[in-house]
Amino acid sequence: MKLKKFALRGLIALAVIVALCMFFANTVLTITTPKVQIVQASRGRLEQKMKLDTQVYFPNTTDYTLADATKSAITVDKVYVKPGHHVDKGETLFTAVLTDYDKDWKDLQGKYAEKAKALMDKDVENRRFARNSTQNDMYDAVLDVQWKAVVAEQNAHTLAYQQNITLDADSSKWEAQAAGKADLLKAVKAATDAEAAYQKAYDDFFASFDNTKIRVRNATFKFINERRAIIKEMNGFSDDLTALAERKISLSTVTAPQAGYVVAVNVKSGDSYDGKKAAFTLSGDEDAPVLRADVTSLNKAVADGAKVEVAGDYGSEKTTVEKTELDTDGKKYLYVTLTSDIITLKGGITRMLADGTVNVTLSYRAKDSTTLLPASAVRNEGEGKDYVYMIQRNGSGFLGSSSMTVVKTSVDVIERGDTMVSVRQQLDYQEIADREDRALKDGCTVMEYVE
Amino acid sequence: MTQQTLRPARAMKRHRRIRPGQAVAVVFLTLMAVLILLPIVFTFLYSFFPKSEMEAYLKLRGNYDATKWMDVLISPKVASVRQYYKILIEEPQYLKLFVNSVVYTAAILLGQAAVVPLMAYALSRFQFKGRDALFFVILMLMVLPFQVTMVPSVISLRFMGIMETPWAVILPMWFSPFYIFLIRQFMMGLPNELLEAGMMDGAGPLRCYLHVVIPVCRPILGAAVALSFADCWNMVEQPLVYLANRAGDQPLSVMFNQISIDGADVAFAGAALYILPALFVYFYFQEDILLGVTLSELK
Repeated sequence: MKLKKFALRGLIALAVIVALCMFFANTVLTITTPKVQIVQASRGRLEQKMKLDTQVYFPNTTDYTLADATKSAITVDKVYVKPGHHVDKGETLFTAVLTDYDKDWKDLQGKYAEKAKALMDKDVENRRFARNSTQNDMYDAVLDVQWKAVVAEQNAHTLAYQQNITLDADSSKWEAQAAGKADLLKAVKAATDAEAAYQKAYDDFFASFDNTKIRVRNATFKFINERRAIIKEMNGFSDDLTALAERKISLSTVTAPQAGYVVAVNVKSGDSYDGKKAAFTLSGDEDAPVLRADVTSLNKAVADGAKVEVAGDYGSEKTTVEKTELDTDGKKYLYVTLTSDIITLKGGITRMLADGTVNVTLSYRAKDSTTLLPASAVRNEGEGKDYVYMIQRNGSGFLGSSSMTVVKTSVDVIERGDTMVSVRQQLDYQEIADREDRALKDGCTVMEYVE
Repeated sequence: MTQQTLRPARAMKRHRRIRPGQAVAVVFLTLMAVLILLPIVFTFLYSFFPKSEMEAYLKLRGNYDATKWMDVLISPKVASVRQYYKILIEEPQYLKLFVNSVVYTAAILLGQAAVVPLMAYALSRFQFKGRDALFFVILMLMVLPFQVTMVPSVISLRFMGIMETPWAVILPMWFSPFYIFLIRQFMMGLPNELLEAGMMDGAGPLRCYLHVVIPVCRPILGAAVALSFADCWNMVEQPLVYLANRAGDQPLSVMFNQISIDGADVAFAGAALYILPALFVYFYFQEDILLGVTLSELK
């Protein structure tokens, strides 16, 4: 009887176990088996939307420095423009006052008056002497042509040196040395002519001492020379006063020397400006501004014409990539056409420049067609090694049951996108495990997500 | 007092002498029993071995080195119930086949319970024309192997329109000639007075059958159930022929060979589970089998 009871209990226990297992098998299996999403590799060109930070960029700009300000420092009174403004030629950019105008004017005026008094005193002192003489003219002419001869000779030497020729000390041999070199020959001829002219003027001047008609006394000769020196200084001061007056006019109202966008204004109201740096920068009138992004670190070849979308407060506008090129600073820049619609959308160039960066969305499309996989399905195990878990369907396994296992397969990544990755291997129509709910291991059994 | 009561027992033991022939027989039979039980023990033992160990061990199949003794695994490196987990949880197909076997066995046994004792009763207790001829046919069917009756059976089942259905397996088994013969022989041995007493009390043939014959035949019925259970649980040919295109409806006995090939790592756990029901049924009817066989003049 004990055996019967044991057998009966055993049968009941077995039946219960089998029933429980049948009921809960799928539940337990579902809980314990990693679940994955099955994706298929596709073939095509990698497309990706990339966010880029761009800045408004003016292709050709000119920095304007107010050279006059080096002579007379100015204090900026009022700035009328901001970066991004478009100005016409002659339009006022800012106004200023010459910081030391009155002092400079008085200094020059005083110096001029001092020299004028000296001239008057000299004329009074030598009132019996003539004011001009041919001999003094000839003296000035000698000094004049002497300098011209020196300059011409220096030019000839410099040109000869550039052509690896050392001109002889004897200038009569220069033409022979310069034979066959037209420009050097011309310079050599100019030098010898200037030397001859100097020699002639020199001879004429000293010959004048023997000509009683034009010879003057030494005191007269000296007086005329000194007088001419004072007049020369007075003319210099006079010119300085004129220049100062002109600077006052030109620097008090600084205008645009050309039409174009104001790219930068480096002065502001109250600033002192000494002309050592650019006061403002203007773009070329014919050159439209573009959006420029630094893509040095972007390891992708963006094709010209690629689509770009610029979002604004009231919608978005589409434009295209103009070009991508390496700049002289060693960085690679991407240039995007800036249309008037985008400028309007973003509130104008001024606001865009003030904001600093303009966020754009670039629709990148690879040049070559490759195998594309979801980015989340491509895993990295360090050292640049990438792999995917391929789904293997085991249809002829234990009792013909079908199951899915994952097989770790190495892949060579060509390009990475935010959502897709381009790989070199041909994996078309292959099933790939993606978005698993727990860590996978090579060869482990998986189930597909049931949405 | 205690010593006094023990003394005669000790004395009796002292007097029981084991003869040399008896000792040899005990040793021989013990060895035989061990040899017979060894596969069952290994089946249960290996069902707790991990998959890797079993796979490595089973790779030896077909590559035996005749010059060496085969290694016998005694204990696993790490005992594991992974095999059971796989067939009970991960591979629900096994349980489905297991349930198929249970369903077929239950259906056949129920059918046999209704048909076989009645036929045995009729053949043993009633006189009618052709009774002996019918019994002869039953005896003939009993001795004919399945392979001989297979083609006529297929034709008949197709004619009945139940080919490729579970009924093709169940229905023919209801009329199992061996169990008709077995029970008929037992019933033949029942004293007439037993039935006459019942009839005297007003019972008809059916009431006599239900209330007199069946209770008296319990030992042989138990034996028949146990033996028939083993038949049904282990049947292979019938499902293979009658359900050739319905793999999903076949019992575990047919698919077990497949398990051994495709799922070698779980074969032992599968075998262990497969043995258990038959083992429990045998335990349950063990006494009935022995008694029934003894009483049915088959001894």
